This record gives sequence, structure tokens and C-alpha cells, in this order.
Amino acid sequence: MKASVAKDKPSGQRFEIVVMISLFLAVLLSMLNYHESIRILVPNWVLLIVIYWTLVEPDQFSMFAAWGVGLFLDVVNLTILGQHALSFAIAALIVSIFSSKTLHYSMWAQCFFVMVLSILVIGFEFWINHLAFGYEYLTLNWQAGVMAGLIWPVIRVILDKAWSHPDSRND
Amino acid sequence: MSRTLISPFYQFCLLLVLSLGLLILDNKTELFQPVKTIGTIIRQPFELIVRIQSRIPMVAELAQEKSTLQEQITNLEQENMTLRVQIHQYEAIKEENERLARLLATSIKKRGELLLANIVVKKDDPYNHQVIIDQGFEAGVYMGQPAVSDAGVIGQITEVGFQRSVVMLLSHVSQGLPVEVVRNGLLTIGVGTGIPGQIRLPYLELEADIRVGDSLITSGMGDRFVAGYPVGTVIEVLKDTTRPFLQVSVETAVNVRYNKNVLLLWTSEPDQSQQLEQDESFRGER
Repeated sequence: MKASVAKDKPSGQRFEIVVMISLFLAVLLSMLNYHESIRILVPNWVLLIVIYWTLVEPDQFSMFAAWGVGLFLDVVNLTILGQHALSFAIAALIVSIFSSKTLHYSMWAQCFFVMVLSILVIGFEFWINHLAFGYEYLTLNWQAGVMAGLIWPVIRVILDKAWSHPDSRND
Repeated sequence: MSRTLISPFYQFCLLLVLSLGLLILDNKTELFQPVKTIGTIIRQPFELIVRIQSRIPMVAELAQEKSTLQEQITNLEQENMTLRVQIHQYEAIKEENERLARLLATSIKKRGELLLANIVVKKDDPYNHQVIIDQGFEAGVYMGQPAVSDAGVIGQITEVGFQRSVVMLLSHVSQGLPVEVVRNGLLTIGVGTGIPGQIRLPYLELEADIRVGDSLITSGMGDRFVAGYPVGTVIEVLKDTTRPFLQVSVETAVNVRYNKNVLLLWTSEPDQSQQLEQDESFRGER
């Protein structure tokens, strides 16, 4: 599975379409109304997609793109501008440091990597809010990070499929 | 999305500076207010799809619980009757009150206009104590406008879009509200805690007369909220003699989790200049 993505180098336009669709669906998923009981477990879908693209296509999906996606999220979520942007850039930086190796890890190791990265991003966003508004530490929502790690294989398999076969682009 | 020539580290440094600039500017100034308005417009197509999703389980419930609905209607009808009777009593009291106020030569506030708005989005994010409603400046919504429900105060408007506005809940840490203890008329200020459904009263000296179970209402000070709306109930009073003030926790009267609508109040007729003034005073308050 790991090499299937790099084999065909399709045109940039198709890449952009697949990226856009995946991001659109991720934003949509993050806006759905989840039941009270699972709300705390909902991972940051957009972050997962950004991790995927920076991991798999670091040349085409740069850190600037990750930052831009974060900024878009800040605009539509009405959060402080720069909050998601900076945390996504940090995630992209960490991914770019590890990217060549991470793709060859076993799925479990990848899950762990994504989990740690997600918790790091959640912690960072919490810290920004703490600085801006003085939130207390009991509202740190780390469970979503664990869930992000657990759901990573699904994201990985679906996006690998969508990216290597031109016909199936459903996320 | 093309390859850049600078190394990841320098890319990151550039983005770090950009982000920090944005964070500071957005937190301290109102420079990006138009961007937020655009944000509420970009949201709309997403919300449309989300609204379809939220209807699906409701349809199933409707089919299932027809009898429950019937029961609810009967209950509501009964409640409606009692409320109608109470309104008559209330009208009488109001008239008497106005007469007394005239006698005392004080001006009584005109009862404000009302607008019902639906809550479109409740944030999943635990750091965002805010909800988005489906009325914007098209309907005359303005910054700092009070939002209430039948149970009490919800919060105030902090962003106004075309057909969308953001209501910041009382529990948000940036929020402050002048309150009054019903039992003895003690005036103080309630401040958000960041914990959903909770505010605190940080400015009560150790000797202040306040107990668990005391009800709080808006005091009307500061001219933002009409006086007399329920705010919450005191749930904890901690007296720590090493501190200058009591630590008082209050559970808000409204838990927005169970609300689908909010009522917007017009405390006065806001003209353009007044509106701007209110924006300024809102930013200054804390």
C-alpha cells in the first residue's frame, strides 16, 4: 500500500481536486451535530486530512497549504485567526521531519504517531486559548487525540484508494 | 501547493511570525471583523447539509412517538392556559408598577421589542462558549444585544453577519454581567468561568451576605441588560481567609444544550452612533 501513492504522478489538477474534496468532507464532518455522549471523542477531521496529505505528498502539499487550511478553519469556525493555522503548520513541520520514515512504519506505529501529533495540536490550541482567555486546565480535551490515532487507518485506507484510482474518489 | 525552495525550518519561521501577528491583532483589535462576517457566509452551505443531517433522526422519532407528542400538546395547552392567566395578573402588576414609578418620578424602562431566533450551530469545541443563530444585521441585530430564553439570560451578541450572528454565552471567560441577589438586593458582577453552564462572582468581600441556593437576576446596571432576568443559582460559596474575596460559583439558569431558540431583546432603539458606542463599551468591558 505504501508505494501505491508515489507510483503514478498524476497531473496537479487532479491532485488539487482530490485534496479539495477530502478537505470539504472533513470540514463537513467536523460541523455535524454529534450526540452528547460521543462529542468529546470526535477527532479533528481536518487535521487528519492535513496530516495525510503532508505525509503522502509533501512536495505538492506544503506547509503553507497546511497553514492556509488552518486559516480557513479559523475563518469558518469564528475562532481566533491564526489558532488552527499555527497548530496545523506545527503539525506539518513535525510531519515533514518524520515523513520519509513514517510511511514505512507499521500501521500501529503510524496510529501512535498520529495520536501523539493530535494530542500535541490539541494541547497547543488549548494553550493559545489559555493565553487569550485564561481557560482552566480541566477543559483539555485529549480524548479526541486518542480517537484520531484509532481512526487513522480508516482515513489512510480511504484516501489511498481515492488517490490511486481515478474512478473512486468517495471519501 | 507547489514545491518551495526554502527549507522547512525557514518556512515554519515565516508562518510562525505570520500566525503570531494574526493572533495578536485578532485578539486585541477589531481589524478582522469583516473577515468574520465573510466566515458566517462561507458557513451557510455547510450548515445547510448539517441541518439535513439533524433532521434525519427527528423524522424517526416523530414516527415512533406520536403518543408522546399528543401528551406534550395537552401539557403545553394546559401550560398555555396557566400562562395566559398569569399574564393578566402580570399586566395588572405592571400597570401598578408604572403608576408607582410615575409617583416616584423615576423613568421606568419601556418593555423591549423581541425577536425569536433559531440556534443553527452549537460548537463542539470546549473552548467556544458560543452558539450561532439565524438572524443577522438584516433583522437589525446589533453588537452587544442581549440574548435570553424563557428561563433566563443566555448571553450577548458578539459577531453580526448578514443572516447569522454569534451569541457569546455567559460562561465564556471574556463575559461579565452586572447581577443582583434576589434575597437581599446585593449588587455584584458575574464573570464567565470557561466551564459550561457556570459563572462566578469574584468581587464579593468575605463578609458579603450570600448563601448556597441564592437566586441571581440581572441588575440592569451598565444599561445593557434589562433588569430582572434570571441569571442563575449559587451552588458553592468558599470562604478562604487568605484571599481578599469570596469564591462563589453560580450555575446559570439556562443550559443552552437544551435550547433550540433564543430571544433577542431590544433594550432601546439603536441608531447608528449608539450602536458604535455600544461596540466600544463592549470591548472595554471585562
